[in-house]
Amino acid sequence: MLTLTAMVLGVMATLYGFAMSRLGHATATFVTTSDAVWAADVIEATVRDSYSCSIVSISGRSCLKCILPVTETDRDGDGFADRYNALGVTRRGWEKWGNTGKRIWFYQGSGAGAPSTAGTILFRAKRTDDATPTGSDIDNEFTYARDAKLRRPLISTFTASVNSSSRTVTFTISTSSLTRDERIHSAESTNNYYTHSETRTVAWRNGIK
Amino acid sequence: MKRRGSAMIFAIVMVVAITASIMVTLTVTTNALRHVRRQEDITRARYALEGAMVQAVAEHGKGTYSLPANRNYVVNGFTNALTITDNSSSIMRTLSLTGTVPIRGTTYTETRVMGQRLVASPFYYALFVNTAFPTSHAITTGASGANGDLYAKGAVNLLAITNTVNGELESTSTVTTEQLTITGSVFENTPSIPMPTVDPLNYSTASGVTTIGTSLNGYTFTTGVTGTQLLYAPSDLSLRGTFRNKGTIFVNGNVTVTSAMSYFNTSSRLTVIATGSITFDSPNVVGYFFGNFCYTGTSGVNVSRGGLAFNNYFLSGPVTVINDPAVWNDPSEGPKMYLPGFYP
Repeated sequence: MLTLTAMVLGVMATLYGFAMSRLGHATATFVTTSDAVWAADVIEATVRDSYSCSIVSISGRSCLKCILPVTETDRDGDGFADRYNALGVTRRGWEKWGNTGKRIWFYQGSGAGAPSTAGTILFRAKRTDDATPTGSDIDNEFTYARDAKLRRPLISTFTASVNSSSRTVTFTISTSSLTRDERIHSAESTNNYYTHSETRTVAWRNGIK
Repeated sequence: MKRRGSAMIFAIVMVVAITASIMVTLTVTTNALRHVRRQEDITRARYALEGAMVQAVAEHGKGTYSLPANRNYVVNGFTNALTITDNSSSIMRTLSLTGTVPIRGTTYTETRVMGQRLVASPFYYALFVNTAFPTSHAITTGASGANGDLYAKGAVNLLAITNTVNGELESTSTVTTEQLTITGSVFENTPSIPMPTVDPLNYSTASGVTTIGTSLNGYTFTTGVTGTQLLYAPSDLSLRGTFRNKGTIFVNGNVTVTSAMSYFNTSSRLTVIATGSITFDSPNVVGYFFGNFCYTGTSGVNVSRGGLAFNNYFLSGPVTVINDPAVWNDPSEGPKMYLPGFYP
């Protein structure tokens, strides 16, 4: 009887451990994908509406800079426009967007938000001119949830490149998560973390001012 | 008895804990899947509607339908219902398109303002050149950032130290400049715009046409048949003076502007069409000028309101042209003014 009890307890404990381990793996897969896809959706929407995009090197780090059209509408009240209207059309009917709209930046930096300082935190910054953004230009809602807690803590790298001839931006967002804890892995053994890379190529507008 | 039951209790507790964890995870992942699907549907809807709208704009440009219109387009298996109206009262020559598409039981809506895909006319441009355009004379088109679009069928090479284009510069080839101040964009390798041809018979036999002689020193036009009076000169014509109301002068030959031209008032409008050349002995003129060759003296030509559209230019001085946007603003003016490409 004691043996039987021990067997039952052992089997149940093993079953429990196995289930929790698989749940941890499933959760890690989900959160890494979720963080990367969410950030990619925001960047894709910005690039898609841009008048033009470029890569600006600041302190040796590449930052994605997007110039948005002049006439903008913020439909969801987050302080960032999500709909744009043309200023007019050319004599052939091509839409003209203007090149004096907001400058939206995406880059990684430290907690202060300046792109000149190295870090893994993904920031979105907004300026009305071409100057380098500072910590006061960042969109806190994009980066932080509350009390300086990162909204998407699993983003490890953000890289972008621009093809001016095809008017496209190719960017990659990499995330990783431990299976036992929702944070970026470091020096963990192979089976104890998940990584996800979200790569997209997005075209911007026709760039007629 | 108590020992027999303890294993079962432990097993039940474990099973309950595992089940609870699985249920929570299932709920989270199901919601996540639902969110991802919705995001996918939103993206699909947006691209489907954009594709439908692009098709609708293209068809409108071909004259497939008139405005306002309700049309359906199937894109990637999704049926997009569009309502298309003329938005020119807000932004000239644009369409307002509102579309809906149902995907998985949810209807998505998108509204866009898009430019009408136009067949461009030479009269939309301040300076229309139906050939390559190399010149060492200063070119100034438009004013205050508008009404100064320039087009050339061929390479544009502006060699003067000062050139200003208040609008777009279009070339079917390349654009090189010594100096250029431009408010709009430079377009290279654009599709060509056909230069309309004219048949003197269409003008000499038009209803209400008035035949004139070899010289015209100003004129007060009557309303005519279309609101613009048509004058027909069967041979070369000398031109100068003040022109009142709206009129079109067709010359079956060459035109020489011998002295300054002007409008009587802001509602006056003039078009000069020549089968041959137009020579500007005097630079200060008004009106749309259309012909085969354009010649200027060392003072060049200064069109304060109108346009220049020629197959070839032989310039000896600077060119300043401010486009009259009347035809651009209201395309129905084209046939009324007997403009090539609009009339007959």
